[in-house]
Amino acid sequence: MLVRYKTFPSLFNEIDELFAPTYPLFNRVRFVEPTRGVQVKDSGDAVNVVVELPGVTKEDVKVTLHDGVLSVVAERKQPELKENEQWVRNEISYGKFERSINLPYPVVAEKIAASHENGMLRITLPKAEEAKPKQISIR
Amino acid sequence: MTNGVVKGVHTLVPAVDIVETKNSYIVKLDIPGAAKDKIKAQIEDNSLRVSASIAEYGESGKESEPVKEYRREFALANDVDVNTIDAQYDLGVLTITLNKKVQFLPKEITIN
Amino acid sequence: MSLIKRNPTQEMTRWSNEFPAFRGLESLRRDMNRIFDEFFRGDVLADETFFGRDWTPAVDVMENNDSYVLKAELPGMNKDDVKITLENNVLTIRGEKKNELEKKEGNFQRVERSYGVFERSFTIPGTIKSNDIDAQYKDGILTLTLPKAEEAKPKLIDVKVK
Repeated sequence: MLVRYKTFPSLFNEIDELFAPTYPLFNRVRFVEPTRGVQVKDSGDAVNVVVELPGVTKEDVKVTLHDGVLSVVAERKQPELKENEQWVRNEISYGKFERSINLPYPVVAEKIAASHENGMLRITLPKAEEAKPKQISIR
Repeated sequence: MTNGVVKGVHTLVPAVDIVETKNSYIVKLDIPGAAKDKIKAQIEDNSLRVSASIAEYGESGKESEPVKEYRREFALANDVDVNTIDAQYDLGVLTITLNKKVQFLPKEITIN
Repeated sequence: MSLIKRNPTQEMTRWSNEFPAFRGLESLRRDMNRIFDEFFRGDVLADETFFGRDWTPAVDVMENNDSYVLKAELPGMNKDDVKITLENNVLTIRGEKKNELEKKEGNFQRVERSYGVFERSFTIPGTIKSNDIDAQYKDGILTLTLPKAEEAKPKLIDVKVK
């Protein structure tokens, strides 16, 4: 079967919004929205999902797949200030992060691999055989 | 330190938390996905400059040209002791500890 | 007394016009400001508190190659009644001179000497060895010696990321 490759324009637009604004270099005052970027890539045989989760421990990340929808739930705990401590600036947002991604292909659930390093969650979802690109040779 | 912006690289300003304690300032910057040796923290002219280049996301082990760069600069107050700065990178968060100079800490002087 | 926060500079100028003793400090202050302003933010050994006290001891501030020396006239005091603190780069001398006259009987003609609480604060211009500050009280003069620290100011410091 020839499956037509679906693109995910909505997702990419969102990524652009998150990443595109060009702030002046070394901006001292501007408030910055947390850049919890999500990137989804098609590597041919697999779908690669990368989620930025700085400051989140492995134990506070949960990844689930249900009905072709990949969900990432994470929590970044609010630091508690001790006595004699005070905020000078607080731009980082804390709390719960939830993101669901509609997978464009059927994937092999048993072979999903996830790693969490340097605040980056990387999920590799191998495509189901029928979704893999095939070269059709002409006889 | 690179001065210009590399072509095709998004320059981002990392979000920052700064907490003042009795003896220090603790600066936390969200810089997810950086390799430790690609993070630069420098003091120059009483400014703290942080920059980090992030390589392409992909299967781990494969590193591409940088696709993103984080940059931010902070003007330091003169109570910061620039000679005792500590920087740690963990979970995609760079934590910089700036100690206050001793003469800014509470002290009582006894008369001889 | 008035609780309006006064402008120390104006106050200083007015005071130095009225009292010759302050002129020296004022001109020193101006000179030092000129010298240091580019290097250190804020005033240099500038007096910060000008209110909230009954009297103000006269203070001389000198700078030499190795230290800042501050001399305060605190006649007739017990050294335990003087408190010196350093916090947030501000050196504060405060204390109280007890009024011995109240205890005496009889009529007196003249009260010129000052009594009561006093407080003076000074912002330190440079880096000092704050653990080596010396304070001596002798013959009614409090002498504070604040040794300067050789501040290593390298052009560029690379912070190692661990």
